[in-house]
Amino acid sequence: MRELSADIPKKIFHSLFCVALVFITSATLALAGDQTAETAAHHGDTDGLPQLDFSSYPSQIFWLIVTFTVLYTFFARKTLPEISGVLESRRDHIQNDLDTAEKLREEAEDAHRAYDEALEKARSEASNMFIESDNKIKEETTKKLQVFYERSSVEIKAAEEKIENAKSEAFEEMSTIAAEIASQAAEKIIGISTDINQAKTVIKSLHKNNKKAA
Amino acid sequence: MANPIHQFAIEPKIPFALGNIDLSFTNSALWMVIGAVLSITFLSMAAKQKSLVPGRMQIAGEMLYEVVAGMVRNNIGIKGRQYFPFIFTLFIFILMGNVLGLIPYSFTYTSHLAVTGMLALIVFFMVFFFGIFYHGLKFFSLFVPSGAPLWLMPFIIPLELISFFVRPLTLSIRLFANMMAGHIILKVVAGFAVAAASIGAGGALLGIFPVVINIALLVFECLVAVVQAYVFAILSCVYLKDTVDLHH
Repeated sequence: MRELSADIPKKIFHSLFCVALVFITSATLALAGDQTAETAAHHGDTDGLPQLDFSSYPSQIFWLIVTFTVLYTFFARKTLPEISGVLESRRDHIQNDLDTAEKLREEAEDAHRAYDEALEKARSEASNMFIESDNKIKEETTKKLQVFYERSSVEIKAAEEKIENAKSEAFEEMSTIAAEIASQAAEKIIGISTDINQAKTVIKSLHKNNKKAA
Repeated sequence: MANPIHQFAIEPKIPFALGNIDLSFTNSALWMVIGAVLSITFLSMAAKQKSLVPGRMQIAGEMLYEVVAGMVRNNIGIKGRQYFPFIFTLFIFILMGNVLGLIPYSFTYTSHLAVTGMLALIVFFMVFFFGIFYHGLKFFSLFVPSGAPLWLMPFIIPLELISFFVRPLTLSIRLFANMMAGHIILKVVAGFAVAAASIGAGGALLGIFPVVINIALLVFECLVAVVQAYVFAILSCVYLKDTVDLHH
């Protein structure tokens, strides 16, 4: 099948159309003219339907074709292209606006996406930094605690030793004092002199017994 | 009381003849010219503004354009663009005839068989001419519907032929009969009112009813005027579709 509308350019189409109109008209007019002559010959009355009065046909058809052709030419050449041009330019304009809006929307979306990405990045960075510093602080604390523990344990040990020494010294002294008091008391009460060293041993043994009881 | 047929009488305004053919400028021709001038004026004014945001006139013109363009696009398809100016002119010409005819004392040129018949013949010959121009002899396969069984052909082909050749007849008679009948009814009902009024005071009161009915009828006729123009144009589209698509 042939490509249809491409066959006849628009202008030629219009001219062709007008020529065809004129041809049909003249043919019809000729026919109607014959008919008119006949009807006029047969009966000249006009009492019936005016629509069936063939004598008026040529003039009606003639003026129909004249006005129709003028209208067609005017519309096809001038009015319709103008209106379609306006409609097209409006459609283009609207499409343009829509395209621009679409482009702007895409740009805004891109910006939004970039912003989101930056925000996400900042957030992850911040959390990394937080974790890092937290770890560092924890590490330092444990290190410092370790040092502190070590030092304090040494110091505690020394202090304990000192206390132990002091305690044993004090105990020594106290047992000496106790022995002296005991011997003196024995001298005064019973009147016997006692060996202080013996008293000391007694007290020590007593102390030992006490400890065992405890 | 005036004869309801009298309103269709063709009266020569300017006698004019070519040989023995009478081509007088008649009341029919006068209203054709009035319709053409009015429509050209209106559409030129509508097309003149060309503004992006249309005014009233422009939007009316553009709506008219869109209606006919949609009609052509929906019924013929994209290839029907070449027929668009013709369909548009046809629609405007008939619409003008129908609507202007509703003005009292005007003349309805579309109520004449000569006019509607000529328009229908133009459509018919366009279908014939462009059908053969585009498809050659294949155009006659239009009368042989595809898919029908062979033994039905002797019945279908004559039927298709008759339905094809009867098209200009139905097309023209539909329009002319509609317009003529409408105008006759308007005239007859109006005649009732005049007849009632001529009886006396009581009759005049009675005559209000036909007047009220006539108002309703006139509104109805406005509708018919537009619808018939639309129907004529849309059927022309349907017929012209055969020239671009043989089988559908």
